[in-house]
Amino acid sequence: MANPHHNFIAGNERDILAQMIADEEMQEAGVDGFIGPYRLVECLGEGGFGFVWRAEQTEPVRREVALKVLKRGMDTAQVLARFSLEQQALASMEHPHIAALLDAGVTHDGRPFFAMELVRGSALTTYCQDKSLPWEKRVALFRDVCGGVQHAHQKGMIHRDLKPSNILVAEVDGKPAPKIIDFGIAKAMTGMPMQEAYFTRAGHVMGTPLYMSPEQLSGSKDIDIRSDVYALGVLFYEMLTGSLPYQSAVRQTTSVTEMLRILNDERPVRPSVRVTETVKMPAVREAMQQNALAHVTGIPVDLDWIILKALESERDRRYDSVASLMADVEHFLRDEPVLARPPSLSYLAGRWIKRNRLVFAAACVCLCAICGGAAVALWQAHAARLAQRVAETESARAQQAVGFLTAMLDRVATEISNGRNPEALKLALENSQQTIDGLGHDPALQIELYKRVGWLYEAMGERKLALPLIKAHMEALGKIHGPDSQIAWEAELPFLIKTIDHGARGSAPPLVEALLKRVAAKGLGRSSFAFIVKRQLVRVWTKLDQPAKAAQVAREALREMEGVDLPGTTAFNLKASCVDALRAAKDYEAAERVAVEALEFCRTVPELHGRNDWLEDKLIEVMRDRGDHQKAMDALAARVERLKAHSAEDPRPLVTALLALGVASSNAGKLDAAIRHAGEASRIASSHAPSAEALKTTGSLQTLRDAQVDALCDLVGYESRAKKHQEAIAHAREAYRIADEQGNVTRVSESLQALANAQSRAGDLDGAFETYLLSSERSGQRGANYLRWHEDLQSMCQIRLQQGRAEEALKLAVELWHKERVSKEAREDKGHMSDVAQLALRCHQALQKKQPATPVPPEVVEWESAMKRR
Amino acid sequence: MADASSHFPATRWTLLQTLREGTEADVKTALEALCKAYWSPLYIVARQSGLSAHDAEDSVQGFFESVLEHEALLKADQSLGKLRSFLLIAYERYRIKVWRSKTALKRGAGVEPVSFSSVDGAEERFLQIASEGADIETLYNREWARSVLERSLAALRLDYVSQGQEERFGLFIVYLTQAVNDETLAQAAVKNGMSYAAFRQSVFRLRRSYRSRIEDELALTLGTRDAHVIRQEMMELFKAF
Repeated sequence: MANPHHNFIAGNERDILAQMIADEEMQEAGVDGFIGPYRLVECLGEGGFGFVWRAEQTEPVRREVALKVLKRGMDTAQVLARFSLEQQALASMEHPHIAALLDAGVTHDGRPFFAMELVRGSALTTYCQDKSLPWEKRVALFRDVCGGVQHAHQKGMIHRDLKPSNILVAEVDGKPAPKIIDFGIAKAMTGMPMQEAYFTRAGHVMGTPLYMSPEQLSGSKDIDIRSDVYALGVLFYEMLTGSLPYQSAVRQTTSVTEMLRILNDERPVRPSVRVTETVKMPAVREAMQQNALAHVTGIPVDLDWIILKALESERDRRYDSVASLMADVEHFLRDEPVLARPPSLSYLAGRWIKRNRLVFAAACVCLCAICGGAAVALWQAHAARLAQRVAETESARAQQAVGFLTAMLDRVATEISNGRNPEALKLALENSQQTIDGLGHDPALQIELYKRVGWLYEAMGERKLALPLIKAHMEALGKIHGPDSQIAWEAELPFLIKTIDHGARGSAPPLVEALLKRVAAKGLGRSSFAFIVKRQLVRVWTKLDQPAKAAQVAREALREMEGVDLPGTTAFNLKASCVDALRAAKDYEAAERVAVEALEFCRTVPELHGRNDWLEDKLIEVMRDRGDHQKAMDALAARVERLKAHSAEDPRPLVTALLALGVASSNAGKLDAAIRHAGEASRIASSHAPSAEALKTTGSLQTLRDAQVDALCDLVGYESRAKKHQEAIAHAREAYRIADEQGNVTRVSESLQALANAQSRAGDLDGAFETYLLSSERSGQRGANYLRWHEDLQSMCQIRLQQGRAEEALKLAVELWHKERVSKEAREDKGHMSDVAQLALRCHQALQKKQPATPVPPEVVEWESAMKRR
Repeated sequence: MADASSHFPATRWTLLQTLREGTEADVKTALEALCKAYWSPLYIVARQSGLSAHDAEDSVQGFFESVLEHEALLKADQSLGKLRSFLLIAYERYRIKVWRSKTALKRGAGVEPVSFSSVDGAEERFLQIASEGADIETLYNREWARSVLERSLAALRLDYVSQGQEERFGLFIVYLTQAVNDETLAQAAVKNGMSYAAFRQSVFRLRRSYRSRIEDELALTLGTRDAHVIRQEMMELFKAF
């Protein structure tokens, strides 16, 4: 018994059942039957809970209405509540773009119904297509729809099911008048939540999910007006392009999870681009020739951003209300700037990295080019070339991405020109190494990216992030060219330098030595590259506090470089590092000799001009270390004279030099000279220093104020030692005033320290005590580092001890000890702890001496053991 | 429940009554009706629970045999309206506790396997609905509803065929799924060279007949013609999708 219809049911179950229910309804009312005063004419449709009928009213007026009747069997309390909610919603609203509620009642078997204005029109998108509306009119139509939705929101209703079939467009006086007709799953913003709206019957999405926001799709109960914003975004997209934002992808899936993934991971093609793509399709071109799609060309980019902002998958990124969406549409209609902007780079990057690793990597190259200082125009040209290259070398996948790449880079340019690049770039570059690691199939690009991204991190001051990339760059090059190729060596060198400066320094010496051996093995032991590497060995031993090893390598290097014709910079840098190493090893004679040689050399080589002072500082340090203060003073005095000749534009180097000269003079025991130099530094700094007002606006001028405080503090120290106490205290107060005005915690603390010192040297111990107290309070307020307030407390304790007020001193000592014990940093600093213990014990002993009957504080045991541990 | 009227064929006697009091042949027929109604829903459940196609078949078959042997169904009369839930629960219990050990034994002794011609396509349907992501009970109910609709449609077709109206059936079947209004009907009538009234009447006749075939199907598995009980079952059907 062959049954040609045996496959008829599957897939049609829902429709069949709906028709049966409709028939039941009709039969109930009778073919000519009435529900209330309304005669049923035709079933217009079936919603989740009710049927909508076209019905005829004869009394008191003759008109046709849309009659919505609750389905039989659906009269559970929940559904009844919802039904009545929709009715209330409609009753509360009065807007030209919302179908009006006319009447409400109950059927003879107790089911509620209500009558609405019957809209004779077609669905929103159908209307746009049928009328071949130009896009300007579509935008205006959309604005009207927004007006209706906004009105509902004002009345406290969220629609939650905006879609073309729920917005009908009728023509009134020849003009399109859209009306929102279905508030069936609307939700009151306050009051009763309607929870079972979408996922009735275990996971089945009711109605079409294509217009639903991700939060609705995911079944979230936290739905707000921004879900309507999203749905309006989808509608607007469809109105303008004739297709849905994620059409192809979403159509192919029936799984809510997959749909959510698409919505969250992907961004829709920009409407203007979609339209252009559509026009390229042969069928569409044909249609256009018949002028049916004339509207589709030339959608302005501003509309793209409006739509994409409404379509953001994270609702915080959407318009916060339909009102603001509508406002932007109106801005657009009036040719005013719209608020919606291209999404920011950092945000895009995150989404985009997920989608296309290769193109992400390519973009990094472009970003690096910008940060390298290339003009944006140049960079764009570069980007275009790069995109071209990617397109040529990669598959169709990359070609698709090129359009997006270019668009994204355009947006990056905007970010950059707004000065927002560093943060955005950092975000964009996060996880980039992993991304680049995956590019093994294109080693050339991979290597380029390692280098540039690593370099970019450096430039951004993210040294810890840079190191692995620099290493990967080195290894990738080694893999291709061999680890002992010149090119691999040159990549290894920056890795070693970064490791020495910012990385696991201890691991560096064997690496540097190994490289030296490899270089020598190739017969290049006396090449300039070898000496560059050797310098790193000198540096790393010096930095590792191994002066003997450092000096040994330095002497070797100095011997070896004799008679070798090295580039000026290489020789100079090597010698400078040798000076440091020799000085650390206390071989002052050799250090001074090398430094003087290097300075002379410096004067003969033009490319080294400007590095003079750098080396001279090293020389002066050597002089100071070996106690040759007069020589140091002479050298600094010469520098001061040099700087005075051209100090007009920036006085800071001169101030620094004068302060250094002051220190040198003081070291030489020439306090008068020291006071003179520090005083001069203070005057110069003051005359250039900005006002307090100016400080509020700029950061770079701050340093002059700092210089002012520094100069005064130095001056205070010299004056105190020269027993000029009144001047010292006055200058210290001045320093404190400036530091306080500036609000710099460190300087405030330093100036108070200087004041307290001056006071105590002047014999004003109570004054000094008060100053330390102030200092400790201020440090405490600002949460400054532990040493500061501990030191203040320690000084206060010492003062009381000095004054013979042993009882107070001991009290302070106990307080200090307990504070130290709870401070992690202090506990780790064993030397400091034993200093504190020693002071405390001294206080204890002083008190015992004075009042032997005083009970011994329990802390004494701890103090004694802390002293022993020393 | 003994309200089986005379025009009601023997196979449509109340199910449980038959199971209790019927002859061996009657019992077999009744069981076959029940199996027809619930074989594919339970098969979907079996597959969804992770059994292979072959094991699922064996398991459901074994379940129905066991139901008869142990007269388990007789206990269901306390909650007749919930026969469907009862079968699901009983099957789940069987699947977990009984069938697993039973498969170890040689089968075939005792009751002769019933042949189920209506199970064709169950596997195909399972593959279709497996991706729906619904829970087992929902799938089971849907499959039950679908099979009711399908068997009713087959019965309806048989009515038409037996009256020599197969062609008419083919013409009007589409209106089972479509909303009808005056305009569409009028257009279709013209197209088919019929008067509007005759066309409209034929459409509604088909829809009404279909509904009564469905009610027959429901009555069969419910074992009653009680209008209220059938009405309830009809509501269940409406809710399945």
